[in-house]
Amino acid sequence: MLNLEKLINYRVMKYLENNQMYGTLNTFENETSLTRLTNNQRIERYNLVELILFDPQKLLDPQFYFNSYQSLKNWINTSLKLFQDELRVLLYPIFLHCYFDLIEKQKNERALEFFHKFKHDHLEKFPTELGLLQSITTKRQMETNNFATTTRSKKFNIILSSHSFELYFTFLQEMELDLLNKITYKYLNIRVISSNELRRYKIVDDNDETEGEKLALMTGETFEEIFSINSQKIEWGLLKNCIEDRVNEKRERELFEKKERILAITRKRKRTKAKQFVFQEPLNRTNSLIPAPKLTIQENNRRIEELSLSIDAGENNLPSICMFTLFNSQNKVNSVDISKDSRYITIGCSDSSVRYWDLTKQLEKKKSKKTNKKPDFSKVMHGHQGEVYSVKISPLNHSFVSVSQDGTARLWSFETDHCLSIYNGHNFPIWDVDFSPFGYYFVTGSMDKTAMLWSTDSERPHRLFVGHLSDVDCVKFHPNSNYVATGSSDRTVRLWSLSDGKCVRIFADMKGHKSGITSLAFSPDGQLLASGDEDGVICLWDIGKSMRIRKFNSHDNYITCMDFSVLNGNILASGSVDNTVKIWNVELARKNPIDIQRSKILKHKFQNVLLKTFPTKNTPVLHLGFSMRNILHASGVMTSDIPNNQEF
Amino acid sequence: MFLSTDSIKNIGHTVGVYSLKETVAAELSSDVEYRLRELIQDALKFTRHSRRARLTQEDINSALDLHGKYKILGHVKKETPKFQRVIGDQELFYLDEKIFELEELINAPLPLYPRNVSFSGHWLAVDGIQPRTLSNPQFQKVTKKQKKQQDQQRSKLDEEKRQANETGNIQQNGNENATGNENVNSIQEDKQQEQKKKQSNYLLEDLPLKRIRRRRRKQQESNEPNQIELEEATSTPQFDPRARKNPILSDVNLGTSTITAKITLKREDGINNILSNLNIPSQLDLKLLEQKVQIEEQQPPNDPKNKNNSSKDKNPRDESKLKSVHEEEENLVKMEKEKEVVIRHVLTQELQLYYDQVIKIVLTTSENEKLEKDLIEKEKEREQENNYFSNSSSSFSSLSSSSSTTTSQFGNKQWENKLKIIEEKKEYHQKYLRIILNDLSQNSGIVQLVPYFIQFIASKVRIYFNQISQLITLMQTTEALVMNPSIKLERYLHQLIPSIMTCALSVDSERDVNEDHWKMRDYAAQIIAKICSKYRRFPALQPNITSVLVAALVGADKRPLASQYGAIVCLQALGKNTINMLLLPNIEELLSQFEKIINQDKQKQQKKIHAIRCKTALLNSIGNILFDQTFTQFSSDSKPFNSLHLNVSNLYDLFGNRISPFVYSNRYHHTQSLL
Repeated sequence: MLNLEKLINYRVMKYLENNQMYGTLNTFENETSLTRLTNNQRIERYNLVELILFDPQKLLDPQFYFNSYQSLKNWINTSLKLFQDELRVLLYPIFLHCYFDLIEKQKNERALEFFHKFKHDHLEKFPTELGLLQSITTKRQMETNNFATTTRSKKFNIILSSHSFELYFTFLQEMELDLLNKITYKYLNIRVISSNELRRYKIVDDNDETEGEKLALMTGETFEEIFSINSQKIEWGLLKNCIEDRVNEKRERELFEKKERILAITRKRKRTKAKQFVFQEPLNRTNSLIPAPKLTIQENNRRIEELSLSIDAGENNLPSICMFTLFNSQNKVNSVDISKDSRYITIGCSDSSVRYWDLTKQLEKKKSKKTNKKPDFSKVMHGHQGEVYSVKISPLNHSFVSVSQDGTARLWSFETDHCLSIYNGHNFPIWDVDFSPFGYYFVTGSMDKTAMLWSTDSERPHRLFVGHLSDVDCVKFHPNSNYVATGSSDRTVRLWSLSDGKCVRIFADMKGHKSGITSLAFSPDGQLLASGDEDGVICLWDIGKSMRIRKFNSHDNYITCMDFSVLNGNILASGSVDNTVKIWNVELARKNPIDIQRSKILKHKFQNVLLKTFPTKNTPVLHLGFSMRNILHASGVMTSDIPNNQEF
Repeated sequence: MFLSTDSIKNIGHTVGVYSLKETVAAELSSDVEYRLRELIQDALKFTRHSRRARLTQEDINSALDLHGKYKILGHVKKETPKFQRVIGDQELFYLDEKIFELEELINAPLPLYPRNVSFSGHWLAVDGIQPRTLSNPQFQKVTKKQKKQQDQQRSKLDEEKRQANETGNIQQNGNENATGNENVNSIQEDKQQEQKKKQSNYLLEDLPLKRIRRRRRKQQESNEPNQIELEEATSTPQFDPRARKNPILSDVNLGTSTITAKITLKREDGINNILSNLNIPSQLDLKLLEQKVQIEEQQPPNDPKNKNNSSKDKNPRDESKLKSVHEEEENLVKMEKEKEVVIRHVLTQELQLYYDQVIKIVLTTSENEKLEKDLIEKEKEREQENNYFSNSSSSFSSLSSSSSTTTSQFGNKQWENKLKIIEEKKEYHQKYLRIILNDLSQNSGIVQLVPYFIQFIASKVRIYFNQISQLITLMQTTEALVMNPSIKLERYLHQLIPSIMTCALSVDSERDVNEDHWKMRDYAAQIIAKICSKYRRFPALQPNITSVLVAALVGADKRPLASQYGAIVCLQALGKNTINMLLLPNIEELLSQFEKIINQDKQKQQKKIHAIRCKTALLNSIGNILFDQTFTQFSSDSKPFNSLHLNVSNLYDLFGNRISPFVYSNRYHHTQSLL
């Protein structure tokens, strides 16, 4: 279908340009009467083409949409395998906008016809989106619909290699597909990258267990903006003088002293001086960027003591998992949280109540054995006016916060069993909440596409994080409490700075998540961020380099919770609605995939990142959390009915 | 289209709009569809965030609330309402709802208060191993792939071991030869060459050709040939974490395969250092390794090719290559170091406690019995004394006699109290025994305890040989173990079956005064039948058992009647086929023997009773088979026995009228079928 001669001419020109043979190039240009263009010029030229050569009659004919989409599809299917994957990404946005164009021109029936004719190309990859699309059948609906307005106002981000971009460009010119020109110009952000860069991407992809197909992504920012955001410097290290360092210092000192004692005997003979122990703090430690009350010395010491008792979890030292199963829930338990010292268990229920158990009290009563009956010390507290979607215990262990459908968050005290304060700010249901690791601050993510930062002593939010294109489904505090990560239904994860409320990272990868983010976790050293989605895929992102380093793909249903092991963070535990807890080897995944490719020896080992799967008995896992001693607390609700996969 | 224009019109009728134009209805229906889809999409969000799989009415209500619409209020039932088709109209549906009387609803008794949310804790994993308890899912099937891998590993391991043994033998011979003859030495060399051939063959089997070629090429080029083996050792897929299921096995494999690499790396560090890097499970493997090390150390000087190569080629490129290889090796060693192999003792504290508890309760049967016996004996003694005392005191004054009666009354009361206490104890014990037996027959977590239990049963059957009740409880525990679906007793059958057979066949004149021993034999027979049916896939099992039984039966004169009884019962329990094959041929002989004893006047009463028992057992089993045989003649489902080893008429001669109940029933069936 392509004019082969012209294509070859372009290739020759490109070759000459790359090899800097400008003399030959000029003569070649003169002889073939072709002009060489930069990428930007090309796109601008589309604009010109649209303005000058645009034929309004053609565009009014709905058949033209059918023809152009069909020809693009055919062309992609017949092109070389090498470029097919890249080019196929273009199909979905063009499909979308063709449909919307048709509806905008009020050709409703033709639009439906178009939809049903070509929907099978995208049904597998975008089931929910197509469901939404199908429901929009008139122009008026399109104007009010959330999905339609966002897709019309924002641009898709697509990465193409320079060669495939050229192919696409020549194809459009050859076929005189003005319509596709227009859509490409208006609704797509095409970033052309060199083949070297592409190779880097490919290496990351090669290490994934399953070859995923690329998907077009939409973030609302252009590539340049994303790039500038992601290239900002982030101080992801832990705070200076943090607990982890103190524990490591303690351990190293003990080791050092042991060695000294052994060496002392030999040293007497040699008469050398004993070395002084010096602990070297890692270089990346940072200061806190936001004012926050410091932990009390007692609390600090308690944490250090607890942490120093922990056993390092790793590949050969898998953790123990303590499972708390909830019974008689009658489908009303929405969220569970267990405190780090495993003293409290709180649950948020769909009957708008929150409950908690104090395990130490229960133990005391059991010991005293005054009553024969099983003690049940769940305290039930009412206050919310809608379903409670998430509860979180404060790390200081005296209160917990709950968020609800009524758009409020509430702080509850363990000591008085009463609501301490109400936080009004969101207009829509709040989905998730997370406490800062030092207490005081907490962050909420809501259906209104925003996340908010609160402190426990103020009724108004301190920061508003705006940028997601869909609901903010999950939020998580960075371990140094300077940043907050949010995951959204728009398939992206963002990292926000607390000090100025700006977005500092956008984790959006064409081969990353294919559905909404449901769960987030930071590694304890603050370097890695794990995000789980509705399909059960976990992506591991490097925050400093702002790139995806691994993709774990083994769960069958959506991931509800994840957590890294304490101190070294070598292990990631993930819980899902498919009734399993899976343990992943982060230590391996952390290794640079490029280095690993060089050393072929380790490659086969690199593949086995899934260490173990623990099935539960009909119990979807709702909460996972490593305690200070590296025992994994899991909890779930026993269900009688088998969860079905959501089907379109 | 969700809704047809007709249904839109119908809905219009219900609101009071009677004249809807077709176009308006179509427009409305598309809009309604859009709204509905929007609503459902939003409701699904609520469903997901409440961690549910199913959309509920409440989710729809929440979505309605979100759009500022009124919630649908109503009496929410548990079942979701159903749409029903209007009869006669294919397109029309209606909601099948009941109309509730308000008064009825108000006056209806309140439903039961729902149970409060509660929780319980258990260990999902202990140090990465999932304990097999009831609160964890029962099955953890080994997939075929894993099985294959394990088998491969095992076979590899065996091969390596065998090889290592052979080389070890050779090595020992070699050491002797160092002081001995030169002739033997030459033979020795031949052997070693053979050995090498074998090794190369072994490598050929396992490695793809490319790698071998590369290895050979490298061997020619590089000055340290052994290092290539490192690559082989590490590139064979032994690091599969799934293979860790059998930790000892996989680690042994690891050890033997990677050790070659390490030896070349750190030869100067000595064997001990290398061995300390690895945690090798058993001493046997240590020996193997040492032998390997010796081979490795001796081989290079023996090989003339290598020597020449190493002295000749020393290219700088090769060195750099080697360096990179070295780094990789070091990495590997580091990783190996991190990989600590932990071998734990299998019994956890919980299991230990469980075992102790079970044993304690099982053994209390005999204690209770003892207590009872003691009490009865004491009472007897006391009565005798009393009798003696009253007899002697009859001549004394009435005062003393009255006192004596009071004491005896008092004693009686005390005795009764004690008896009561013991009975209570017995009841209590029975209750607990039932619980424990129930648990033993279901708990999947006690697999590790099985050898202990088997040992326990075997030893206790010997010790409590003369206590029937204790033996019965022991048999009950064995039955529970046999019935447990997750326990596999194949390896312990040889220990288990003798003790059951003792219970079934053994005779003890003192013990058998108690009537219960019949019961015990019946019970043992049942267990044997259960074992035979459960482990049917071992073809030699049942014949072995039956041969013992038949020997107990037919060595007739010398055998005591009780053990014959046991054999008959066992054979009967094993099924009709066995009765047909083994009992029927001997039936005449046996019967005549029993008849003889019964008819003799001289015989002891007890022996006669035994004989009658035996005879009834025989009759029972024959009756069983007869009934079945005659019954199957009329039902086409199952095949009748082609050949009974005895004629029915013969049986009539032997048993006379006693057999008629079985035959009568068959006649009854016959007549019925005729009718």
